[in-house]
Amino acid sequence: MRLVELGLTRFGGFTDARLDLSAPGLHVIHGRNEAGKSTALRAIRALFYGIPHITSDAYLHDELLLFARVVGADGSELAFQRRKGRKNTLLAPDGSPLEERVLSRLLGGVNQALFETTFGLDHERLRRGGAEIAAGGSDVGHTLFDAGIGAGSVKRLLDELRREADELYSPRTQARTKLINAALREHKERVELVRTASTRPQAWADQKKELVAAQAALGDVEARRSEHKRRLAAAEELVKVLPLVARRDAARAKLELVGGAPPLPQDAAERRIGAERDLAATERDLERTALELAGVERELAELRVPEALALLDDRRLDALRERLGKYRDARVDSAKRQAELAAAKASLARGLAALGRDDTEPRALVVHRADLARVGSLAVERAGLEAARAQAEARLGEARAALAALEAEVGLEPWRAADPGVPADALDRALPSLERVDAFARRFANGDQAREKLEATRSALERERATAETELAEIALAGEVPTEAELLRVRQERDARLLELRSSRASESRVALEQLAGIEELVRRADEVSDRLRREATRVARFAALEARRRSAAAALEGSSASEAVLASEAAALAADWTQLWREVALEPLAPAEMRARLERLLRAREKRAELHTAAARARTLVASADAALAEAGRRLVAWGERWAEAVRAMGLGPGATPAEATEVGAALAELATTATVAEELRHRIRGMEQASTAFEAEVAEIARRHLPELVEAAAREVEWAASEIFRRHRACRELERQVSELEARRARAIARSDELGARRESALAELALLMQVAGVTDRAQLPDAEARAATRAQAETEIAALERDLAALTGSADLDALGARARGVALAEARARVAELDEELAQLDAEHAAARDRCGAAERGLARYDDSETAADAQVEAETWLAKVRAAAERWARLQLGWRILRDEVERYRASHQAPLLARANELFPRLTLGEHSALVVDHDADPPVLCAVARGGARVAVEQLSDGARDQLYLALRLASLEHYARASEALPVCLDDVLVHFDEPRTRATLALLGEVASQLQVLLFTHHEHVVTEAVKVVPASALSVHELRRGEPPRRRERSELGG
Amino acid sequence: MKIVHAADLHLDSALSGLERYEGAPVHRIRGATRRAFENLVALALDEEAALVLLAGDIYDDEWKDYSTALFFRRQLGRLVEAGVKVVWLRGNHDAASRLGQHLDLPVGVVELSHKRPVSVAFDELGVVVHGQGYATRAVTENLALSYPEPVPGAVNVGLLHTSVDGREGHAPYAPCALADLIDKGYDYWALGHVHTREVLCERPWVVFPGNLQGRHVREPGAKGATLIEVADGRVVGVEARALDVVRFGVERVDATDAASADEVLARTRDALSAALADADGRLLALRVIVEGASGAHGELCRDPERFVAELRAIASEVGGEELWLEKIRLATREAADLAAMAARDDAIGQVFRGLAALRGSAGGRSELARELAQLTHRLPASLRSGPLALDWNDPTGFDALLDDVEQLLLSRLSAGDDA
Repeated sequence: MRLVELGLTRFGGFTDARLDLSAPGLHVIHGRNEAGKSTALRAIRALFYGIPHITSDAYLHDELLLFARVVGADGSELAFQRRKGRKNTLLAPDGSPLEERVLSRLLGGVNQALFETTFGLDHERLRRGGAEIAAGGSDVGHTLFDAGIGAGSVKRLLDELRREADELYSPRTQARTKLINAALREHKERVELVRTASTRPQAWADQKKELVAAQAALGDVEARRSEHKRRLAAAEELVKVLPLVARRDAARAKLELVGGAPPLPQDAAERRIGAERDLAATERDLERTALELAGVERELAELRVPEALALLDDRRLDALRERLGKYRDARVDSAKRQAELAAAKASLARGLAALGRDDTEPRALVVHRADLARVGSLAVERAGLEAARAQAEARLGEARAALAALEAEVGLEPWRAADPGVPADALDRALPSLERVDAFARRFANGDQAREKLEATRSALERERATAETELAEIALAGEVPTEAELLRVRQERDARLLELRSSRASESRVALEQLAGIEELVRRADEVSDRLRREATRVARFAALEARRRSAAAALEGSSASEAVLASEAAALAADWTQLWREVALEPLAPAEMRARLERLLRAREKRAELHTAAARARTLVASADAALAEAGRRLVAWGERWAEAVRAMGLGPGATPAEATEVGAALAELATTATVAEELRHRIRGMEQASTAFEAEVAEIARRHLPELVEAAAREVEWAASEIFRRHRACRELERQVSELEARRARAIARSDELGARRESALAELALLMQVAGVTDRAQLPDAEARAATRAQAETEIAALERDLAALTGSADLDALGARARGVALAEARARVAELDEELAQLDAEHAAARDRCGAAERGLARYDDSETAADAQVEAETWLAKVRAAAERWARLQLGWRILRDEVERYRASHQAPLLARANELFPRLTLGEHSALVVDHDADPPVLCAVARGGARVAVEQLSDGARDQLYLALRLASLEHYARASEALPVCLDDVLVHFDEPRTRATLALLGEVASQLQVLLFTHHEHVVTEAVKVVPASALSVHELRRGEPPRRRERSELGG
Repeated sequence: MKIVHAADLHLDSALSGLERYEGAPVHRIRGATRRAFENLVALALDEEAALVLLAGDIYDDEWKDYSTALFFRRQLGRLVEAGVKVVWLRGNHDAASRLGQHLDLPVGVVELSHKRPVSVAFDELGVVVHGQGYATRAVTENLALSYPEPVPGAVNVGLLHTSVDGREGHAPYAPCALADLIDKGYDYWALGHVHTREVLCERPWVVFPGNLQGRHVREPGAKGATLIEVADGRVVGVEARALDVVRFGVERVDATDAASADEVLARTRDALSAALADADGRLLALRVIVEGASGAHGELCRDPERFVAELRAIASEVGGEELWLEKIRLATREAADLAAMAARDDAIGQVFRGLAALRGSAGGRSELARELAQLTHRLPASLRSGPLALDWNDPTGFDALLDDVEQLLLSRLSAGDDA
């Protein structure tokens, strides 16, 4: 396949660049560094196999695109495009997708890698190819094979495959580090572990059988052992029972000895002794009690109590004893009171005589205390009444004087004196308020102020206008000032004229010419104004500003005149209001300040007048009230005189008596009345004492008569002594009575004691009788013997019961008589010997039992060992993983092993089939490339494997490794070219791309090589990329022009084919 | 009332084909079949199932460790203790295995006779289970035909270990037609033997629950039991429950148009993440097949080990201990035209012609086989024959091996010095 056109539509630095490669022969593509030589090479690769996703050629264009036209060996032509992308990157020239196989048919089964290695060559690869032949020992097969592919060293590849296979596996069993060997070993170990860790079903079954057997044996020995134990227990029981049975028999014999002795209570003896002791003691006490009783009876008989006296009531005697004391006191007090009565009677008689009423009954003289008090209070009241009357008179006088003074002051009018213009009735008229006057004052002031301000503004405006006018005049002196208005006007006129001219449609007439002249004039004027406006812009501006100021000031002045008129009318209205205000009061309206002072005065006077009127009214009221008070005082004094007359009449005085007189008489009367009362009381008391003495004497006489007749006489004589005697005798009588009662109590106690002792004695006798009855004796002396026999019986019976309890407990049997019968025939020693014998046998059985139990335990443990362990299963899992590893590695190994084997064989086959033709052609090429330095290439068949040698000019054989680098390059190039030519003869060859392969060649060899390439290019399309100009020069020299095309690549320019004329040569 | 139906426990049958590598979570695949059976027991207890049906192949006939039987007994003990009834029968593997012998299963576990068809009635449940186990490894008669007639008024369940009318990869034991089963008039056929879950019919129900735990990549996807719900004397619900602890799967990565190995790795990473998400936290044992005509083919073929190592690193990163790359198969194709290459009269063409010649020559093949024999004779028997045997033991596999060799040589030869 030939590439006849290469289009770099958008690729690398190229845009729409085309290389025409249609000419036959060698194509030299020259470009300096960076000119795009490598880009073009990459473009060819990309055209055939696609643009890589990561590319260095996309720096200029986003969507890379290439174009190519190729011709197959069969003459078929294909034009296509290649774009960058993942799918459908092969396109027809019209952009429609093309299937890859359309192209791959022309690529002859060469993939990208092979295209690069087989059909591409650069100086580095050339150098490496030569070196590898040498390094590979010049093995002919390898060398030819390598040259055929151009990719690298097949020897190295074979070594690599060998090594990789060997790393995986070695047939030597002891190889341990090889992956497969190691994994196989691991696998084997796991499999072995599975085997050893597995439980065989039979082993488990056997173990289970053994367990069943062991359990049966254990059961058997346990049964025998328990029977034996039962027998041993019986023997041991007998050993324990024998002594008890013997003791029971002895006790029974003892019981028979006491025969049928009646059983007595356990405490019978104790009870008997106690009863006998009680009996003796009781009888002793009974005798003692009888003696005591007899003594008491005797004493009682000796005592005699006087009966009459005993009947005398103790309370009556107590009252008499109290009255005796009072009787003795009264005899003393009575004499003293008689003397006091006589003195009072004398004092009374003296007082009556002093008042001149000695005839009067003292009782009638008594004046009531209330009357005396009334006289006293009336005397005091009189003084108060007189003082009140005097005060009332004084107040009346004062009030009258004050009223007169006020009435005098009302008559004066001081305000009129200060302002004579004020009418007399001014105070009674409606006066305006001070606030209102103040409001007027403010309005007057405001008006004045506004007028002043207006005046100031006016004068300022006038000054401004004057200034502006002055400056305007100055500017006007400097010449007329152009204005926008003027410009506008002139222009309007011009335009109007023009319009007129246009509408007249008489432009050619004379009139029109004149009009044109006029318009010209107007144009000129407008321009002039316009120019001046521009030129004198400052002046114009200044003028306009001043004019504006002047106009503004004038307008403001007009405004201020209007304001002035308004102010004047407001002032007139205010004055009218002011006058109207004062007309009401009939006062002449002066200035507001004066009117305010006047008004203040009037207001103060009106206030003062009102105050005076109020005070006069109050003074008149006071005069009237003082008058009334005086009259009242007089009335009260008259009433007092009446009450006084009534009061003194009770004392025997006339109404004319003075209070002092009345007081003195009253005091004397009161004293007399007191004395009379005292005398009365004394008389009364003396009479009481006499009555009490008489009653006491009567009582004493009465008591003596009733209870102590022997004292009746003495009582009449010596009442006090008689009374004392009564008291003494009565006390003696009471003492006797107490002694009698005490003896009677003792007698009662002795009788009770005697009864109690009798009962106790009976009780002791009864106890003894009972005991005798139980013991079956008639005599108390027989009791002790009966008691002894009963005790012996009880003891024997208790012992027998205890022994029988023990026996029952030991044997668990109720039938003790049978037991006794059984035991009786046996000796204790005999029984003990039997126990020992059985013990020995049991020990033997125990040992047998332990052995059976051990066997059973062992069997159970043995079975328990067979649990559901996962050890074997886990080992199996692991074995499988190793197996899988072996499997995977084995597959890899097989690939490598066979790959190695097949490759080795095929290299040899290739050599066998290709050696002759390839070496024949290489033998033509190599001498030419070495300029005859080496005449031929031969195979040294003596070597194993056969090796390639060069024949030097002199005929000597030179091993490849001894050749110079250059010679080796040429050797390799010769072989590559021979292979390519051979290939091209039978298969679809692709363009051969040589990238500066001649770098290391000297000029003569370069020439020779170029000449050769020129020849080769007749069979193969050869594209030689170079950036050396001399290569071009040499090519021109040695390659016929018909077989050479030179293409120039320059950066930033489209590729260009150099014409023959440019190539010289 | 609920019934759990499972089959093909193959207890302690080891998971196979999981290539060991550095960091592979070996501990996660140990005891997988046991864990799956424990899950089954837990399911029965959690769902308060009244009855558990095991349709044969409790054991794996090649497995000889009695511990497995003891494990089975202990797990059944848990069910019986909770009052769950268990009915099981022997499948072909159990018939061939010695593990079931001597074993005294807990009271309440019923094994259906392998001598004649029997019926077991659970009056309190209103369920009758009919069935017959395998007396020998290969039962070739149609057992279903002689199963007892259904009991009126009860839920009739047929327990049967069968391949029905044949299932790929399963021996045709106790063959029968689906119609035989349907015609019997049972409510539910609880089948076993076929490891892939399949509902053959819904009226009546004829169900293969599949095995409890996938054991290699040829048993991919969720594995477990069937939960049957019975109400008012009929089957009202049939539901698959996943109980497996390790899940096998195959992930095909399309490398078409991938320009580089890195790109293929990136695509694979995405595929792994997606596959992991579907495994519900189980260990995922994944076979990765990279395929398609790819620009990365040469790079992959030149050094497949490197690619595998990188992929494993990615798997560890993406899945940690949740992911085991069972195998990584590079099945990409070269874009180039191999026929055209072979036609070339050059060194490359020579190699391809040589390979083509070897394929067609018995002598050449046997020569190459001899070359491999140095390893083959050292391999364990299971790699020489049987399901795990290396491919090259049969002609097709050998051709595939030669294809691989061809790709290896082409890629290495093309790479030249740059490789």
